[in-house]
Amino acid sequence: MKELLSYEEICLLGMLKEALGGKETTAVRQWEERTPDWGRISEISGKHAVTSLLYDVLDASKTICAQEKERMMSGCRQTVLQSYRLLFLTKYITRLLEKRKIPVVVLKGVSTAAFYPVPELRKTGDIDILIPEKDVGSACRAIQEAGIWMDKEQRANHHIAFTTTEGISIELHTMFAEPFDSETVNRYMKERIGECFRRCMREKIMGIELPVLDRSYHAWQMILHMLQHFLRSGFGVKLLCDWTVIWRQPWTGEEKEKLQELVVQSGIRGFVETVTGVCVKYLGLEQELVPFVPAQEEIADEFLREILDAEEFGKSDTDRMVALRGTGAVDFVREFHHQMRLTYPKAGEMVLLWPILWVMMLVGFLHRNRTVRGVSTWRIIKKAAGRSRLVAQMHLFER
Amino acid sequence: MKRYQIRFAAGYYWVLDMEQEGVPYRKPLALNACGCFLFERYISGESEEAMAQALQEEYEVGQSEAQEDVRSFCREMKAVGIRQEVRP
Repeated sequence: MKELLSYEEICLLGMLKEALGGKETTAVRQWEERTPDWGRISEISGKHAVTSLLYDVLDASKTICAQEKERMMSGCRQTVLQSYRLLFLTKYITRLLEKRKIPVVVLKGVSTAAFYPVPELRKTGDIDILIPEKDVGSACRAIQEAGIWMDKEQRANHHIAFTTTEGISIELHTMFAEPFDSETVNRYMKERIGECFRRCMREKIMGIELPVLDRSYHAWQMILHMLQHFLRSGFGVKLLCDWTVIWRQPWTGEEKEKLQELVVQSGIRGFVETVTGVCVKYLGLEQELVPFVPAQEEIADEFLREILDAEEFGKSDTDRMVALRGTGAVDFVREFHHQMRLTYPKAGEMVLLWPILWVMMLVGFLHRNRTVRGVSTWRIIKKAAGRSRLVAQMHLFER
Repeated sequence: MKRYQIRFAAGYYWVLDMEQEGVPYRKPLALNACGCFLFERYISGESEEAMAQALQEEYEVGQSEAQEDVRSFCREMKAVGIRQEVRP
């Protein structure tokens, strides 16, 4: 029977467990016992954007060759430089909007990095800011007046993307995540925005004070973000690391209760338990810190395999498109309709146009598979069905 | 708040200018342990002589080498626009 994980994957997960600074950091260091293929570890960790988290482990390793070590450590220093750049740009953007009396909260990026033993080592690529929907116009004007361009092509329905002259992407969010194929959950997410701003707090991150979500909303946003990517092409190990370190923060009982409420009301408990199961088993997350029951080992294993195959944000394969909530024909039709609504958000509001939009969607999908992705539609459907079996066990959006 | 903050990450001491707005961006300065030792003295307004003396004692280097290292360090700091705080 094929092993679930390769030796290099086992070593990488062990190294991450140690790097994240949990209680069980003195576990057996497999990579010191039997030399792994460091080139392969470097490749996997790079694809999952977690190489920089390994800095101290690499520094202490006796089995890694000098050349590979220097290559990986040089990448770590680049991540540190990028972290500082994004930190100060985040300061600039938040102050810019606050001066205009626009409420802002920093999502992901530096605000999540703050949970790590060395925040600068968490690789971050862009800046995500949450603002109330009513302030979108003035926020966009403020950012453009500062010489930051709004992207010509906007690919998401829950944020507006900008790019600085240095090529750094800034996303102004009005929602926690892209709409899901459940109106109830989407409404619930929308209704929570006001409360999230009321509960937001100011934290010093690497010496800079920034407005951030409280722990309950931070964890909820984190899990919604993971789910959003999981239901598309997937997400990488970095987000599992985020989920592990957030639980080592000083949570209050009220914050844990609040998160439980958010998770249950949005019908994502099965997903949270699966993510938690992987983090407990492979990344050293202390089960007693989390107010959720970790999923069974077999489900956690299957989920981890899926994540390792996906790489960061599902960049690995062209046949990774979506994961459905079930495996039946109804689930395929529902997902197809949902994708149509995401692709044509305005036209999709007019029910009479749906047949035309379905046809346009189908033609576009088939055309892109042939010309852009270079993969057969059958392969995409087969892959989606395989991943959907896992999703079905999570009973998504069932409250 | 102090204008400069030193943070340790990925084997280097990074000097961050905390007073900056973020745009234009002033990049952090990467220092090794010895550079960090000198920076803390430099920024607190210590004289070059005192810095050289401290360097000699901490790193067991000769007087002329210490003086040359300190002179070169101070020159670099001035070149990147980091000025010493004036001691009261």
